[in-house]
Amino acid sequence: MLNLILKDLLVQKKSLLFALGYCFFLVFAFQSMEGTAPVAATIAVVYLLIQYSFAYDDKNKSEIMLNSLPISRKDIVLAKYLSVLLYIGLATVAYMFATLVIKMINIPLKVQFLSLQTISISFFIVSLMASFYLPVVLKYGYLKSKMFNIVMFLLFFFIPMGIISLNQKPGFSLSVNMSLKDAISWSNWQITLLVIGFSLLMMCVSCFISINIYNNREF
Amino acid sequence: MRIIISNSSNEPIYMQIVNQLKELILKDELKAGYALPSIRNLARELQVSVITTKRAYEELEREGFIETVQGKGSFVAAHNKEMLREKKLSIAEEKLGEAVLFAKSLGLSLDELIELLQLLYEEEE
Amino acid sequence: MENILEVINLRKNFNKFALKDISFTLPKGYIMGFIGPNGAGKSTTIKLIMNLLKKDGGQIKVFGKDHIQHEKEIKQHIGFVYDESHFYDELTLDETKKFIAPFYKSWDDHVFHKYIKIFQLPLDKKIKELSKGMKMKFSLALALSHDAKLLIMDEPTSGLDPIVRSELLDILYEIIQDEEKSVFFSTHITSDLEKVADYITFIHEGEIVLSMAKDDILDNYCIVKGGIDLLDTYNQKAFVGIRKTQYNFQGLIDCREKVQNLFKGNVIIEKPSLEDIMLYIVRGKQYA
Repeated sequence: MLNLILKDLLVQKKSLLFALGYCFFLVFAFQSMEGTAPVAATIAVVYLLIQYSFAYDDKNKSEIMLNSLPISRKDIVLAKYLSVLLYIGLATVAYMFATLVIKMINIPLKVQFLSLQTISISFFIVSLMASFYLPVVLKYGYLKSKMFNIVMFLLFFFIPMGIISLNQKPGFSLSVNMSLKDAISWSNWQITLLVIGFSLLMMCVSCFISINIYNNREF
Repeated sequence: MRIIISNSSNEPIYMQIVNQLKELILKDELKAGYALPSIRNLARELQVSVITTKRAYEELEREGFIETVQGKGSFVAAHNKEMLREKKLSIAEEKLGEAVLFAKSLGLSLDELIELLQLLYEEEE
Repeated sequence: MENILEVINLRKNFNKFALKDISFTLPKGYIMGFIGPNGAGKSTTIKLIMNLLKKDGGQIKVFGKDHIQHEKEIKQHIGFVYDESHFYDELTLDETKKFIAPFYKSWDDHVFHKYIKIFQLPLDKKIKELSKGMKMKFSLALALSHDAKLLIMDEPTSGLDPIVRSELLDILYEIIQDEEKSVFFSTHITSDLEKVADYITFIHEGEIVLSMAKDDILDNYCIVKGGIDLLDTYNQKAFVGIRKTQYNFQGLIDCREKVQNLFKGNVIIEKPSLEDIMLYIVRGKQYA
């Protein structure tokens, strides 16, 4: 299974570099929208890597080959879900790297650093996106789910961005944040863990559905 | 060991192999105990299917020309000298028969034929 | 005789095409050619065997075991070569090998490198840089490096030149020197199989027309040629397929013995090729 995950990285090693470059770009582009850059970067990079991994499978019709090897279909699906987690990690590292570099060479930019809050927000959004997208792409393949894919990207990229930036507006942000914190009087850590836990649960349910779908897939 | 397969011949390929191997054995070119190639090896060499060579060997075995030892392969059978001679004699008979038939069609008499045969026989010596 | 592959009443329905309860068996140690025109159901059958398609009925047994219940175990011992490579264009041969090899328990790197050498394949090149023939050879090298007991090939020679095709035949002879190995080989180019195949299974419009030893087929069928005046309504029925012109006819008859009774030696009898048999059966059915 590890092999399947590594293979997905290997076929898109060019996109990995691209992803890093993209992080630099986003740090720059989103600097005026408070709190959005780290989230946008994570979502965009993960989205990109998921897309590419399926696009390469589709372009080479490699699923015919994969499913002719002694690999169970369950493992192929699991590998895709685990890859998503790995991509989140990679995106986070790439963003951290980008911000550090910018900071170190003293480029006069308003750099937004990662915070517990942004990490949990992006984790949640990416998980939600993957949980919807993977069952669809595993059922219909990359090309046929292209339309769904575009709609999904718009939904999961721009709406959260809008909310976050709205959230950052003084009055609104404070009221929402404060009321949440007051209501459950938990620490940031606890909220982060809750969000991540919930996201993982969502992925598990989605994964379970995907395995069933993929088991009946024909090539 | 020389075997030539013709694809245009009307004779089935396995029979071509059988007949040519028989001839080699009768002419003593393949001596008793000679290890024949495996059916798979022969199939590759002759570019025919394994079933074809397998059939040929089975036929030769049935007629007592070769013996197959499980796990060791096939060998030219150690035949009875008498039987071999008989088989060779029958070939000589058959060929002479053809010659007689041909001679008759030309209108040669028995005496003329004998004379011709004598000449040829002595020439060979 | 032990059977490596058994297909029993296999059925698959599509919108415009169906595989209609097909059956055949491949004994251990032999090569079976799977022939038929394009669209006859060859690839469908192979995809069903590999569980890439889901069957609607029937049974498939590989090495005597159900192909779905024991799928992973069976695939450990199947080598596959398809008409396209389906490997990742972006990876090099070496990277592809490193990805594939760990899935097989009995992967043997020595064997792999032996074939890489024989086939003269450049390990550091990307798959997309290979010619079609080289891709096929690379697939074959991978298929032969994990001690496969059954080699499944779907149109491996389509689009290849005669030289590469003849090289493939030599390799097939090499493979079956080992009595444990069997080959299932689909193609619409029947001349590839004329020599090497032990059994022929002929599929047409989703049905098996015949499945038997190649020698039996070639010995039984014959091409009959003669003047058109020799034909009458009775003897015409004996033909599997026939082509008539103003002056003469030629056709395929499925039993040599019949010819003598029907035509009393006034005709020319020739050995058919597999292609002749395929053509006359396909066309014969069209005009029937």
